[in-house]
Parts: sequence; C-alpha cells; structure tokens
Amino acid sequence: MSEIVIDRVGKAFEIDGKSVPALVDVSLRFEAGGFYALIGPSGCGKSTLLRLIADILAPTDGVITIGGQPPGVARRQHEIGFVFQEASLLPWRSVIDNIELPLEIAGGPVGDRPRPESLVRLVGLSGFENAKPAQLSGGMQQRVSIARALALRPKVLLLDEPFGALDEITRQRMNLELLRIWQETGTTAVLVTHTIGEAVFMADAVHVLAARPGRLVDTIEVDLPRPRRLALMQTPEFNRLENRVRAALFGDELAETADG
Amino acid sequence: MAEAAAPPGGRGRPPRLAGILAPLAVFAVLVALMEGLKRAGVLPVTVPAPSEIAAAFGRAHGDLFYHMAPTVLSAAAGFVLATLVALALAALAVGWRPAERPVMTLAIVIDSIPLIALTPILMVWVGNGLPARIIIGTIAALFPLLVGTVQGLKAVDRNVSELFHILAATRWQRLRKLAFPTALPFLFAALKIAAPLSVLGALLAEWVSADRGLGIMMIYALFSFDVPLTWLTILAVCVVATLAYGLVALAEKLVLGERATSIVGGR
Repeated sequence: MSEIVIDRVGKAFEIDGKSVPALVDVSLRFEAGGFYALIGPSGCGKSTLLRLIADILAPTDGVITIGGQPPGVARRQHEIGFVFQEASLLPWRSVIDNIELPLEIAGGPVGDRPRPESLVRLVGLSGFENAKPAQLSGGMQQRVSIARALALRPKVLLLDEPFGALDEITRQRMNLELLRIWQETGTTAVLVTHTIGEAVFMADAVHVLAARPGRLVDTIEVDLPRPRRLALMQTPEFNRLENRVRAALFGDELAETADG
Repeated sequence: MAEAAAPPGGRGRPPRLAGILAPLAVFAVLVALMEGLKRAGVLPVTVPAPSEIAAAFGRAHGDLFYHMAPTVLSAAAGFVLATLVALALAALAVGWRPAERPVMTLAIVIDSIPLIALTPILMVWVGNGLPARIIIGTIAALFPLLVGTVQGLKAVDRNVSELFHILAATRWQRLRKLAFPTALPFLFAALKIAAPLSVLGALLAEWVSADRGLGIMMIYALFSFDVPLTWLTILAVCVVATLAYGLVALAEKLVLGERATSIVGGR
C-alpha cells in the first residue's frame, strides 16, 4: 500500500572497464494499491528496474522512493516482497518452514502479520504444509514462494516473471489466483512479464520498455473492470489493448509487415 | 489444485539385503581364492593365507586392541580438529573476499608437503607424544575438508541470496540459515574423504615414532618378519578406516535425510 515513485532513474553496469547503460531516464509512478506490469524484450532492463526498487541494486542516476522513503529504508522495514522467476525455495525446509523464513529473519510474527498457516491456505496449499519443495510441482513451488513473499505483509510486491517457467494453462490459473491474493492483501504490485496478454489481463497500466539502452517507450492504461475474469480475454476491448501494447513493443516493424 | 504433485513422504526403497550380501559374497570368494592359491604354493612368502592371518588374530588380538586404541584416538582427534579448522578457514575465505586466495594457497602448500618428511621435523618441535600424532592426522585430513566447505559455502543460489538481502538478514542469519545448510552436502562429501585420511595420518605418525599404536605394531611385525601379524595390522587399519567412513556416512544419513542420497542419484 505504498506509492512507488521512480524519478529520472538510470543504471549503468561496468563491463570490462566500460560503462554500459542498462536503463536510461526512466520516470514512473506506481500508485498505492495498484497493479502494474512492465513488459519489454530481453535486455530492456525490466528486471534491473525491479531490483532497483527492491534495493538489490543502486541507481546510477535519479531517485526512487517507496512511500516517500528510499528503497533501503523500506527494505529494512520489511515492506518489500519479491517473487523470482524460479521459486528459489530452500530445499531442506518444508513448505511451512519456507513460508516462515521471513518471519524468522525479521524476528517472529509481529502485530497484524498473517500466520503462516493462513498463508498456506491463501495460496491453496493446505495439506502440503510438511512437504519438501522437491515433492511439489513447479506451479506449487511458485505458490510457496508467493506465500513467502507475503509473509511479512509487504506494502510492495515485486514479481519478476513469476510464472515464466510454467505452462500456459497453469499460468492462467496462477494469474487469477495472484489477482485474488493481491486484492485480499491490498499491496502495490509490480509484475515483470514478457507476455502481452498477461500484462493486459493483470495490470491497471502496462509500461512498455525498449532495449539497448533500456528505456520507457509507452504506457497503456488498462481500464478494464475488476475483478478480472478469463472471459475478458475474448472481448474486443481486451484485444484492442493487447494490440496497443504490441504496437508499442514492435513499432515500425509491425507497420511494415501489415503493408507487405 | 490444478497441478499434479507427488504425495508427501517420498517413494519406497528397494530391499537392502542384496546390497549387503553382494559385497560379502565377493569378499568370501576372494578369501577362499587366496587360501587356495597359498595352499597350492602359488603365492610368495610375503603373502600369508587368510587362515594364517586368522591364527595371528587368535594369538595377538590382545596386543592388536591395545595398539588400536591410541590410533583411533589420535585419528579421531585429528579428524575433529581438521573439521573445526576447515570450517573456520572456509568461513574466513568465503566471508572476507581478500582472504580466499591466501587461505587456499596456504592450504595447497601445506597439503603438498610430504607428511613422511614433515612428521620427524614436527616430532623435534612438539615431541613424539599424542599432540604430534593428532597434528599429523589433522594435516592429512584438512585439505579436502577445506576445499569441500569453501565450495559448499559458495554454492548458495543467487536468487535466494538476493532474498536474504531483501529480508535484511544479518551476516550471522545468512551463514546459519543459508550458507551452512547449503554447504552441508558438500561438507559431508569432504568428511567421507577425510575420515580415512586422518587414520592414515595417525598411522604414519606412529610409524615414525610412538610407544603404542597400530603403526608401531606394524613396524615391529615387519622387522621381526612376522608376515601374518603384519597383514593383521594392515587389515586392522583397513577396518578402522572403513568404520570411520561408515560412521560419517551414517551421520550424513541422520543429518541430511533424503538429501543425503542426492549425489548418488534420485532424491
């Protein structure tokens, strides 16, 4: 439930002694409680942007604030939840122990934080509390990692292609569940994806990035009603928004093929 | 629940009886073959028949166990000491970047010193008592332990490492909840290599100088041309080293559970 402001942020990496820009002059505003998607080709810096927000990386230029504070402060106050492309669970811990990890590190359940048992229920894994990650399917592992990210009731939930490794059918179901969970928790969500339909289906606004150097090229507001249902994907309105994202991603390339 | 999942609890194991009987049968066949060859006069005088070794055990088992105790003691002490030193050095090498190269270089240098030459020098410094034997046992086991632990501590998944950063985990939490559990399978692999090595290290130290121990018993037997007794001591060392390995493997099973077999295959 924190607003994220990204103000003229740039990030350059040192590669072989040369400075290579990964992100140039990105300005964005994610409103508190909203759901946002970042989409772009590989190398556009969308994962880098997510890691800048999470204070895993520091920007070379510009300023990022979460709820008016620097990301480092938000991080140390445990206001950031992060879901990686791989579930990245600790294989020696059971489902419930993996979900409890953030509570252990932050020093036990505090105040109104959800109990791990209720998180297990929230992500639909009741009955699997004591299973080890290796016994779960990829989709179930990713549910555990979402529950883990929510364990400290973060104000910001950052998702780095969380369902990229899953099959289409599982991904659709996980997206619906993610929307339900997001609405129940009221957190500000930022989803990095490379699937146009997923971006439009999930987000209030889709930010399109381009590569070399990574930069923001367009923002498509998605004014579709919530709660979102699968049938929505078959509507002309949904297709129109998808096409706008596609146009922003491919630009002139798309026009050329249409002419020929 | 849309996705399929294996039921919690894992799959059943095949019966283990065959796994014990097969090596026993091979061993029995080899013993019988050796006995037959010796009786046929094919084997040289330096190789006794298994029955002669058994007879040696019959007359000298009191001596054998008398000499086995200090060997086991110095090997065990050296093994434990090597583990502690390796853990400390590995934590230093991984936790503080500039330390890694010097630590590893020093370890390689120490490991490449011939122990057979180092042992007498060491005995001049610290005397020929238990401390010298423990130190040799330690040095013999240290290198694989250090390499294994360093590799294990560095095997932390990058994303999980980022997660611990996001959670603002302390260095201690990171070591205890992430790096150490990650390193455990590597550590046990190294412990299994190191356990027999510290037995051999202790034996070597006893060879050079000791009043008691399997090493000195072996030397006495050699110099008195008691071939069966020599072989009995060799066999005893094999048994001690194999038991040391077995104990570590058992500990691994207890500590790691299902993760223990992951190197061999399956889960």
